[in-house]
Amino acid sequence: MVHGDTDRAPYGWGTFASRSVVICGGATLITAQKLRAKLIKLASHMLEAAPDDVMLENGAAIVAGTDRSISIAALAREAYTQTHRFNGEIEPGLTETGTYDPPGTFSNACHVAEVEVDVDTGRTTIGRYLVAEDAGRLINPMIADGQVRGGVAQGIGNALYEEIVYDENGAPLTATLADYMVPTAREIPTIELHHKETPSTESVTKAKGLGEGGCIGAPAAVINAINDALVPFGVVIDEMPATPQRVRAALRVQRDRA
Amino acid sequence: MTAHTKGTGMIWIGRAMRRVEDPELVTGRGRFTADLPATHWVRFLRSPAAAGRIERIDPPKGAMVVTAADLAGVKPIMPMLHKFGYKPLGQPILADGEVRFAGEPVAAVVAASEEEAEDIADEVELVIGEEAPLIDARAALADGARQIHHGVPGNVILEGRIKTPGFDDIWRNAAKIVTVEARSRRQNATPMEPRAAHAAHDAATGRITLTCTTQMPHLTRTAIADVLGMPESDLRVIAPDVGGGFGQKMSLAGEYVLLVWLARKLKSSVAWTEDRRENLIASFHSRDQYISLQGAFDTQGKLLALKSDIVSNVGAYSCFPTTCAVEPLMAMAEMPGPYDFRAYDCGARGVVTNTCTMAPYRGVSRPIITFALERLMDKAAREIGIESVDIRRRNLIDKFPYTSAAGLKFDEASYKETLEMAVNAIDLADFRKRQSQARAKGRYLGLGFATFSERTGYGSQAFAARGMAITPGWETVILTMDPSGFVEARIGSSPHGQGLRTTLTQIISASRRT
Repeated sequence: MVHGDTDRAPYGWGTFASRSVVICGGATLITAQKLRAKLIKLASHMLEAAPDDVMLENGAAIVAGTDRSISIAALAREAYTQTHRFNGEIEPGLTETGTYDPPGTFSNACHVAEVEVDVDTGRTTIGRYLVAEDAGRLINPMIADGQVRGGVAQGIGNALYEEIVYDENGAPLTATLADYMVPTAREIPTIELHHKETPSTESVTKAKGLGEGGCIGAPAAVINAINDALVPFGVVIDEMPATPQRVRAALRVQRDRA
Repeated sequence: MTAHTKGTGMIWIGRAMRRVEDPELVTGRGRFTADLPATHWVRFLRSPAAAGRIERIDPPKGAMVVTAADLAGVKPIMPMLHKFGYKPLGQPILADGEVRFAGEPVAAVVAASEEEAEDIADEVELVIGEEAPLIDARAALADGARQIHHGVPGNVILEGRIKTPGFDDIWRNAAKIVTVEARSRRQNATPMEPRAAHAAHDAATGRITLTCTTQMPHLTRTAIADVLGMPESDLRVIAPDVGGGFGQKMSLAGEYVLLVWLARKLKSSVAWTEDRRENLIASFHSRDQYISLQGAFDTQGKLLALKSDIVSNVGAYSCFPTTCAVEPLMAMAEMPGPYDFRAYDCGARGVVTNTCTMAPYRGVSRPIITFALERLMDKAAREIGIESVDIRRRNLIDKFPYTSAAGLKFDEASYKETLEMAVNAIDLADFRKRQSQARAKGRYLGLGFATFSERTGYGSQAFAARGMAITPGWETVILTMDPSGFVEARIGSSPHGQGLRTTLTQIISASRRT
């Protein structure tokens, strides 16, 4: 597979906006179907059979209900080296190009965070984290799970830890990873995943994207959980990250008011 | 690969196949930009001041130090949007007279090694006549606030508004108004590999090969050729292994443009690797927003109308290609989330400040709007006296296709079903019992839900709807079966850790059969 080289790969946009499985995956499927059709056309010519009777199975093209077959490797060789036999009816070579430009498709999920807030220090610990995700048809569930878990980890960073701070003169105060705190494995709980697969009608692979969902749901789930924990104090946190300092400050304000 | 991959009946779709990318990455055989040797190395001298005029740049004797004055004929990076009153804003490759955020590149020091370049940069005398900066978006919006860019009056670079017909009547007749003032602080995508670029001149052809850590190699080539006024065919862009992007590496870095300019000038190879400090202060930031959100509900907790004001701090410049409109406009378009209501009134502003430029970061505005909207739903549930799960049950979309109050068309999904899956798995009744027992002992447990939609896989029409001068969207794939019967796929997309090679291999393999 060739990518990431303007001399060798066709013009394209890249990987962003939860698009690759839908758009590049869709273009791949469309192109692969063209290549498959070309192989069947070639085999039908070589085996003197109707295209509808030719199947690709076990690395070979087979005429259904007969013992006539030709290996895919032999077909490929013929496509380049025996073109004189095609009588001009089949183009030489075995290269196909396809593009895809879909309208978009919506994934969805429900995230749930269970937290404990230490009201003396303001520190939040996540005890349990659960995601019920629907990204349409999953091509590779392991890779899908990895995307969700990585996104949740970044979302937890957004909810609790990560903040770029400037002083009043505009000087950045968070210029090292000791000051700008990304979560480590210690701060990320086990993430339980549940899947539902609603096939997309707007995507030829029936897959939906899911690259961003993990970090979209996590801040809301975590901060809603913090607010649920702090109900007895009448404290509301509507700012992220909900650092220990912010939680303590809100608790102090409420105590002083009481 | 331990999985069985041959024979008939093999199921390729839905199979947790191990990633074909991983063996080289986990055995130290990955190839990254910073691994390449170079004749020259660059250190960027960056502004320590957030705002002011450059009065003097005095390099030590004999040092090669490039400043804006050397870059005659090099155009600024000019992202463009044709809607929402967007004010075009050029970003100079090196600060041209004025600095607008702490970390802005002012000069490029060129030396034989990274260390030497850093030492020389420390010796450059840089004098800036400082001005009081505007850091906070609300401060930049205040009456009489200093104007940061000549073409951007009031520091508002764009303003969008949606108001559905009949909104005011629905609003007036609602039983309950619930308010959230949501604040999301500024963040950095923090990829494990910071930005890096290596530009090499080929003496035989005069071409430049730019190897860089990017999510968009083709557009990087198009954009740099535009800015430098060179034929695109004279530039090859390679994205080797990329150690995480998360959006930060889809926006064009001015530093990369300068590397190509230097390689052409020196007819040699030149490299730059960003250090962590530069990445944190001067790459791209995100998520610095104020969202005022109000929901109008009936007595049963049904959401009838949503009113929102979004103020998005976009930093000092606009990012290419999405423009800085990406955060406020996505917030405006997708704020209604997965909920069924018809009345929507939303204003969104992008505000320039003396801070690092904003760019897309995984999720773009949606982590913030979901946070604001889900806070609203929880507050409404509490005020009405129902469980947070129940208010979602009463409001989630369940008929498809559905057109949102903001005009987006939703295809079939499972908002209610995934909520119930989560509720069943968590055992809400048991949690409430544990929560109450813990409170009695002075321990404070909480449970938080978030239900949301994620718009994915959208093509050129979606970008065109924002008015973007450049509308990404489609992808091209070329498949060649060679004479040996093996398939080579050439793809326009540029994966960098997502396992796309594995996923596409599965799609191609599955396509052998109908």
